[in-house]
Amino acid sequence: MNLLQKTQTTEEKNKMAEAGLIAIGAGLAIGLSALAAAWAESSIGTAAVGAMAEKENLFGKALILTVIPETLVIFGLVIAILIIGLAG
Amino acid sequence: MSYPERMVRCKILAPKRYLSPVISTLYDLGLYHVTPHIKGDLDIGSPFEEAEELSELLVKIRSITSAFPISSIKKINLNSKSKKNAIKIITKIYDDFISAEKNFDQLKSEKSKVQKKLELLKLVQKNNIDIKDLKNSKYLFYSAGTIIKKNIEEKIMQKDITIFKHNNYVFIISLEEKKEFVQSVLTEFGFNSIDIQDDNIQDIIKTQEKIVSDELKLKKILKRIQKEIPTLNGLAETFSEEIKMHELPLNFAVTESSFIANGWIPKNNQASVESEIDANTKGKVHIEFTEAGHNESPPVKLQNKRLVSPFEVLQRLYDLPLYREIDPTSIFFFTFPLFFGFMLGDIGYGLVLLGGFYLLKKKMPQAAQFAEVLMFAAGMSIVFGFVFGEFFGFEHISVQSGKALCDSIGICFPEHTMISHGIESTVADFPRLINRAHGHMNVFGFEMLTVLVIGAIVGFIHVNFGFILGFINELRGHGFKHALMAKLSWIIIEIGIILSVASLILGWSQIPTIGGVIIALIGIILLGIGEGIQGLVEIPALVSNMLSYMRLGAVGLASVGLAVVVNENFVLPMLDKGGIFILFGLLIGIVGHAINIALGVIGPFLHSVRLHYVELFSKFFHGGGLPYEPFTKNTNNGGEK
Repeated sequence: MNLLQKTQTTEEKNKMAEAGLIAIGAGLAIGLSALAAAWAESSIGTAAVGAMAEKENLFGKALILTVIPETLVIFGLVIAILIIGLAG
Repeated sequence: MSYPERMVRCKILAPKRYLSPVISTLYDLGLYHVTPHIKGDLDIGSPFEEAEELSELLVKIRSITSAFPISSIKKINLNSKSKKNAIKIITKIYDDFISAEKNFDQLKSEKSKVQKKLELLKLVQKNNIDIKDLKNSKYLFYSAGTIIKKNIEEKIMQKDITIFKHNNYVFIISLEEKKEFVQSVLTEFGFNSIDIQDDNIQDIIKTQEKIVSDELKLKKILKRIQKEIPTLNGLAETFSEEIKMHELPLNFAVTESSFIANGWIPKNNQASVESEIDANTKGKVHIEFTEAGHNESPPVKLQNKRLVSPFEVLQRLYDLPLYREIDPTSIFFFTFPLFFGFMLGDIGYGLVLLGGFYLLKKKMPQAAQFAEVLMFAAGMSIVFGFVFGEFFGFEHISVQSGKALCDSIGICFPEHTMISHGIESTVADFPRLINRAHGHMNVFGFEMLTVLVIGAIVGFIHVNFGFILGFINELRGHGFKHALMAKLSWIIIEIGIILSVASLILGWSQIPTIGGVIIALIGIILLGIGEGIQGLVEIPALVSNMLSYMRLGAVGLASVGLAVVVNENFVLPMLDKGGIFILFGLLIGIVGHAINIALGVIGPFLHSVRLHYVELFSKFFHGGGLPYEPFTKNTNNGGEK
């Protein structure tokens, strides 16, 4: 009886640890990709603003160039959601 | 889907004496996009003589108006008589203005000089010094004036030197033999000598009074000039328009006795331009219309229906299409609001934005097009709000509230049992087609959120639509062979990949895997021939471009997430507490949702626009068209643009 109870709790514990690891994985997926996107956007953004200061009608193109790395986060988010999906 | 309006080249050849009527006709028609002549065999024309005179007047007017605060513009129409009058008046006002400014400066310097003298004289009077005696003295020497640095006393205090000081005014008396020492110290302290030996306080005060009255007179003159500023502004506007007309010959080619104008007009207006010029020159002018040649690039004038035309603002933000290219504005009309609405699908947010942008349109006419675009988008937000069953982030209300609603206004929501964080509760659920935050579906064994899957499917359709447009563009521009290799090859690759996936992963045994692979390979080879290495490098981007559309779901999820946090973690618990907390709860709710709406405009707008610019346009759009800018009157909103 005692032994059964003990195995049950270890199983539960394992399950919880697994869930925790999955959550960390999902967090890393989105967090790191967000950092990467921010890093890329910062340098593009400065250059874009510089270019716009010279020629104002570059706004459209500057905007597009600036948001291109946003795809990284979106992919990060999609992967995070897939990882959470793994948890069932 | 439309193309930019068709243009014809319009050459006008005429004797020089018809220059003026031709130019004024073109100006009134407002249709002629002038192509400047580049000096070669034929010289360029010279501006009318009047242009120089008017330019000078314009400079005069601007120098006057720039001295006063910005004011309104009075509309002015001039005929030749009133113009002469106006020129006279401007010259007079300008002379008045210049002399007033000059006198003002003089008075200012005189005023400060007199003030200094007065201060020194007061110092002299206070200490009972007799300047006349000092002046006649053989043994004594004095200096009067101002110094810049402080603490002169410490340096100059000596036997036989007396100093009187008030602020930075000094009066020093010394023995004649100490003159050099005193002068050297004074130089060190930034001394500025002021001659007061022939002045007395009464005279100085009188001079001061005169200066004040002179100043008043000048101020009156300037005020009179200021009243004329709106008129001057109006004249400046009229003159700069006239100068524009007078300087147009600079764009023409000329021979000794004739000129050739070269430009573009919309084909639809060909007849009216011809008849108008003929009428104003009694048919003495030769006009020639030619269709645009293949290596010519006429200016681009977009032609879209009233409903679609506001979306040109999004097209212009990126670039104008080339003359022979499809104008993608109507794609914006169909998919921009759709994408925006899908990302910000919420009935409440949509209503707020619709009202907000309606106000913006009314209050700021210069942003009207933009506001209209966003009003469409807000409308789609409301539609998708119904699809997702969301109202300010609420997906359901409590059973009691549901009952109350049902009894009072007859809107009844079905009751639904849900499990949230392990707690089971019954709520009155809003009806919906798709549950955005929780709706899942199974894709190849993966549990995925429905909205993400929808996003990817939309991406597949959108990107392929781009390929088809690209195919049409290339077909028109470079013929079928290039269109097949550069654009259709992408679709062939896709078909190959889909067939392989269907047979490998889904196990559709009737399709041989090798068939799919071969089709994909054919596509890749075609692409390699058509677009070279650049095309092959882009192949992985095919998948990432389509997956990029998953942001349609992802951005929306972030927005819902924030709204739910505001509602469930702040507003509802506060409302439950009752009393003063209800007020706090409402306040947090308003601020929280306001922030979320602001983010909800910026995010979906940028992402929706970006999906068009990056993922879609890269498939077919070249851009770089020359904007059609007809020669006409400048209007306040930037002309014909």
